[in-house]
Amino acid sequence: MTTLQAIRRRDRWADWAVIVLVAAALILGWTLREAILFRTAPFNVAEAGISGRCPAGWIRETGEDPLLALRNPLIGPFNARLELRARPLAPDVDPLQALDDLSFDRASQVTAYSVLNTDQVLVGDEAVPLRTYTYVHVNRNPFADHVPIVVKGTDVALPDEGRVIVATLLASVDDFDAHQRYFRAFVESLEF
Amino acid sequence: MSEILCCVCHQPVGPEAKWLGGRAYCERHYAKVTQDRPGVWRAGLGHILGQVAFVLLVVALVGLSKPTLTGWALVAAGLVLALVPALLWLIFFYQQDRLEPEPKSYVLGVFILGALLAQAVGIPLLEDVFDVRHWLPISPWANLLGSILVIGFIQEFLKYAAVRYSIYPSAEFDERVDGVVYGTAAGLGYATMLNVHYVIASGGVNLQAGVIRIAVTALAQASFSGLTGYFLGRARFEDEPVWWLPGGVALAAVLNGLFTTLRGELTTTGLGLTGGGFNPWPGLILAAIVAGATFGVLFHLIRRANRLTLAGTDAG
Repeated sequence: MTTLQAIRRRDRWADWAVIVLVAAALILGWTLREAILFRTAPFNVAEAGISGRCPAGWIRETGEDPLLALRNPLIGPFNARLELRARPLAPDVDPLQALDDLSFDRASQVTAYSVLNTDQVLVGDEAVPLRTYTYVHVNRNPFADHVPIVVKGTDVALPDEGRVIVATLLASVDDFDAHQRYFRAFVESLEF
Repeated sequence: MSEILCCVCHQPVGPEAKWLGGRAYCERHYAKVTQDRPGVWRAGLGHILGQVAFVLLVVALVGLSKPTLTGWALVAAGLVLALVPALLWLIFFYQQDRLEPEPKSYVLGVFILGALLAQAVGIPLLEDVFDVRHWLPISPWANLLGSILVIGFIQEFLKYAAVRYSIYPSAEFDERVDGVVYGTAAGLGYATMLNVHYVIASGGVNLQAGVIRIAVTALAQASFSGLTGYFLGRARFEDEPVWWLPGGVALAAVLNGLFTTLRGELTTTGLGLTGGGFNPWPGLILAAIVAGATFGVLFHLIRRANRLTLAGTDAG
């Protein structure tokens, strides 16, 4: 092999080495992103006997209805949120009834509430009802300069003995798909 | 026996060939490789000082006249400001480099390629795929590591690619310093597109804060890609090891990430009784220092390499 051939071969190796290095950096960067964005922390709503894992770094509020509300502070002006509710349910009643009740409440509380679809999804091995809807969120704060936001939401009803646990995802339509992953992980982590 | 060809112009050079880094050169290109081209460095210095002067001028003019631009007029004013850094450099460069100027079409081509790569690949990757604005601010370590691994490597690789896969193999890339020249052109193209994107996405910018941000972006992007260009220039004409080019891209990416993080820390101020939130001036000072130091170091390194070559020793 001549010197020039050796140099050309080394140049080609150098080209590939740059590409491999950049690919490695981006894979590490992606891993870092996943680790940061999808870090979780345990939560426990002792009075309702519900525990699980929720996204770390989200703002956590507890109350009566919802029992737990988590807001993503990095998404604005409408913070994407996860909520948890518990409603009593007679043993022979379809858990879908809980979603109908929630729909009725929401339709009277928010603007332009509209159900998109009602479906069945598998959570663990169990098929449970899921409802997707939209409404318009209007910020009534006179000092906030925000236009109304179209919000998309999903409720999933998880039957328990004598009650139904309703997990909810709410996000602006632009952020909704990106938050489905948080919702799935949140629902699958629930223990009651 | 195979013919000996000049590695730049690929013309036969025969036994009189000059050798550098295991590559054969004709007389003309051997002389060109080792040129210092002081005009390039004067243009670089003029560009840095010109940028700072331009920012001060705009800030003073806006402060005095208090224009009330809105809507498209504000966007148009922002777009004009976004183009100024590249124009300043081109003016300084061709003013200072009149004796043996680089072909305008090549410099402009690399500039446009840098801009296109930013728009087609860099901005979508950072904003849509990696979505950096939603996770970098979560912690200082995430910010630093993410700025290096994601922002630094994406930006520096694209600017490197704009030079490596266009002008680099051609006969016009015939001096060590050409790496810095074309690297700077790619960096300014990239910066111009970032600034145009910033102005349009914001629907116009506050002219005083905006011009500072535009200048900072241009100085930083030009400096880091100038550094990558230095590594390209050395790799093209010298016997450098395989890790040389990856090392250059990695160094530029690390500096880019450190700069992005430090700039964020310096320009974000704590809220207090007297206000606060954002002060862009430290960012400009940092960018001017980084640009000055980078071009100063590169000037010294290239001059040293040229001297060693002329003295008959390969630069180590």
